[in-house]
Amino acid sequence: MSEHLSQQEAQAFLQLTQKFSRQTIRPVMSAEFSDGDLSKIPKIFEQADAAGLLASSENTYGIWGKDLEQNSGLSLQMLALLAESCAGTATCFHFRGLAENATYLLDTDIEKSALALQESFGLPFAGHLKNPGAYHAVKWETRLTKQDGQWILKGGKSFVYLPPDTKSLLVLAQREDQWVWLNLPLHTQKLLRTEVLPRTGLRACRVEHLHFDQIPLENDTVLSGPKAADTLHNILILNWLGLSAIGLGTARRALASAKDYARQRYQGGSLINEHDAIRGLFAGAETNIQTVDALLNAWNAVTEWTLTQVRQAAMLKWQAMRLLSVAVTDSLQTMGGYGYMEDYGMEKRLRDMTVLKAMAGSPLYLKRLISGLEEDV
Amino acid sequence: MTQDRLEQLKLPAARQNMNRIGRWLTDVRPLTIWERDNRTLSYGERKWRKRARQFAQEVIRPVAIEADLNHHRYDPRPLLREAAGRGFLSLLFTPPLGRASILPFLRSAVMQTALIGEEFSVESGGIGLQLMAHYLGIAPLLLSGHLPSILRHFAPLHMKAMTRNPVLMAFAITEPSAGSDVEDTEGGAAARLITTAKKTNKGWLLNGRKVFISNGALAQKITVFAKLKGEGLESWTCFLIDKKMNGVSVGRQERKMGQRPSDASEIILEDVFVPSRNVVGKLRAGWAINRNVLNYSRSVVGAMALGQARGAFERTLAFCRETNLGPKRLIDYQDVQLELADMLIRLWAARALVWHSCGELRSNQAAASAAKVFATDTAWEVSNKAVELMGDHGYVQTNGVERGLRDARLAQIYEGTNQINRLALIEQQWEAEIDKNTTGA
Ligand SMILES: Cc1cc2nc3c(=O)[nH]c(=O)nc-3n(C[C@H](O)[C@H](O)[C@H](O)COP(=O)(O)OP(=O)(O)OC[C@H]3O[C@@H](n4cnc5c(N)ncnc54)[C@H](O)[C@@H]3O)c2cc1C
Repeated sequence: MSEHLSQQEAQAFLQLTQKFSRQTIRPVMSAEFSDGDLSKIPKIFEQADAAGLLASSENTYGIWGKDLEQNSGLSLQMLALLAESCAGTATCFHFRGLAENATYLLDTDIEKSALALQESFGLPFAGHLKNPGAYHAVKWETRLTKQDGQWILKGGKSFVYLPPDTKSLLVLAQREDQWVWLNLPLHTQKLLRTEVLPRTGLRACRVEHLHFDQIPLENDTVLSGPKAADTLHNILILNWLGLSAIGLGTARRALASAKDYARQRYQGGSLINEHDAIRGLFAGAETNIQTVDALLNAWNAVTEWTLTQVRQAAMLKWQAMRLLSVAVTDSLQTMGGYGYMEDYGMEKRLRDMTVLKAMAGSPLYLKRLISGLEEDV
Repeated sequence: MTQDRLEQLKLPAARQNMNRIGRWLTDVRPLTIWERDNRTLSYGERKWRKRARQFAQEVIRPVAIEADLNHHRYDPRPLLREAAGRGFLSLLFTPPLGRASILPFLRSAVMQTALIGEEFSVESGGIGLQLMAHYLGIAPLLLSGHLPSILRHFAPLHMKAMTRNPVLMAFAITEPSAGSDVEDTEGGAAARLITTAKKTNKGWLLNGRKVFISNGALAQKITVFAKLKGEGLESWTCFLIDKKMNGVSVGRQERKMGQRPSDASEIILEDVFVPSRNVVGKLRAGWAINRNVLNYSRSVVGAMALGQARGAFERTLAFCRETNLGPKRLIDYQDVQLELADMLIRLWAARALVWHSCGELRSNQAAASAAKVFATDTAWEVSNKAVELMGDHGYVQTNGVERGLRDARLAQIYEGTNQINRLALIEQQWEAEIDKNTTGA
């Protein structure tokens, strides 16, 4: 495939994504289960791959395909469209794409990997980003140490999102004063895995804690020294943008279904969408959604991966999630008691939003990062 | 700055430089907010609050997670019996009919129930609702003010609720096409009601459906509101029905986001014969009874939401106390302290309004609605903050923090949505202050 899509081609690709979202994901989600029939997710993933929605070495248009200057806006729109049907499924697509993108940046061609980024205390702090070796206030746990001439991996990762059919992990670790990325097959010995269950939302994507119990490493496991920091910036930025796009799709659909409901529900002598109480909630939700849409549009072509962009992406995630959560909870409110029931899908959206807001950079963490990087940008 | 110097500057040490009166005027007692609030209560209120907290911690806490995650397998009956035996289901009247402390009850009919409602909900919103929905079900019998209903029904049922074998109650106003409409005057005028009572020889035949009834499946008796055949909402009448009556069945049981241990069920009424003695209050008094029951219960709903958010807060606080980030515990960081303070302030303010709304023997619509809206919105905000503060750990369900959020979300919807409650406040205050000087007359 060529790397540059014409506007029409991009449009066609989005239509394909929308069709996939509606025809393939949605029916699975509206089953009698509160979070859809999760056993069908691997199949959906296969179908998405066949349809070209997942990025790979051959497919650069899929989500987080390599040519971000051209495609980041496209990926964001695709994620939002997928999240309109299920934020958890979109999260699987997002994390697979992120890992794909990291492998391009690291000049390797490992496929079907997942990112292992977070330590037990969370993501890298401003200090770690500036200089991983010099930041001692919060110690990075996942480290390579040399024993008898061999590199050994110790430490652990928390809240690792594993899309279906993941074969290997891209692990962020510290070696002496440097960042490195490691390629670790998922079934490596001494890699201890625990599934994180039960969770509030985004249940379509598996989450695990990992423990590296002194894993001896082959030489080709270590992917990069010099490019590691750039890749980390890149991943942080894309992660926050992508999660915000997933939130956007979730909120958009929440508002649309609430409006559908309000066109049918009579209360107070009229359709409820004639009451100021409802119209006010809709106006607020729509404003929040439009605001985030506009903020995300500014990232249509990502050209730089410096700390300035990291900081701006953190701001985006923080505020986007705040605005979108309000949009979803207000949409739910317009459905009264029915909004609270699993059958209407609204409570799932609210649970998913709750996770999106807290995960991979809580508001407190993001605030710290934004202030911590202030002097550097 | 040395640690010693800091200690010297803190108020407990610094006040030693004052004279005796100055020292006495400076309150540095190391009390929790719970203890401070307690000191503002009367002896009887303190007693029930303390007992409820102990019950919640000893009996509710151990089952709370399971009852939420696997609510289908959770059998609430042993806990309900235990609660009844300890007097927690009979605080809607004083001895000999109930166990409410007399003096505080004369100051506020619902304060003691609000107090225990908060404490139960700290450990589990759903179990809290299971216990408190009983009060909602039995309240019409008392608030009808109708002596025969009180003597025939309220007294024996309320006394039975003091034993380990209580008759559990539920309250049924909501219908498929009338939710807000049965909680609001203007909506009521246009309500599309289907539950109807038709006069027969020795009583009434009830037909129709009620939905979302808390404890609908569990309760043995339900206070059901129905219009009289051929009339509108003005004819609403309250009937006490027994689940064993022919024609009463439980339909759909809802699958809810939170407060999951408690069932929200459909009640189907098909030619149910209700004897005349089971008419609660006067014929056509149902609408007024219903509105007044809501006036009494909304403060309690506010207290329960407050409890749910307090539970989320307490568990987050424990996490922040036990979790180290680098050299310090989370609670030692200033930005974490600011968040914690914010949550405490909001909870405290909400409790102040809830308690204030319980300041008189008779509840009133404006105060109850204000307390309900403020406390439930606050609960939503605080439980969100609690989840956020824990980051990814916040959405792991066994940590028990996100449960507060899922539980609290319901409180903004039931007992009248918060929109309807805002309008209820305006309605109540309309003549007295809102529309007072606008006519120019
Ligand atoms: C879990 C649960 C437990 C419950 N327990 C009980 C119970 O024990 N007994 C019982 O009888 N009921 C119970 N209810 C019902 C509850 O009180 C109603 O759900 C609530 O009053 C809202 O009604 P609704 O769900 O029909 O929403 P609707 O009335 O359809 O409201 C939908 C939206 O329209 C708005 N709206 C409606 N009318 C107006 C108006 N006139 N002006 C402006 N805005 C308006 C509402 O604010 C809301 O945002 C329970 C509900 C739930 C979810």
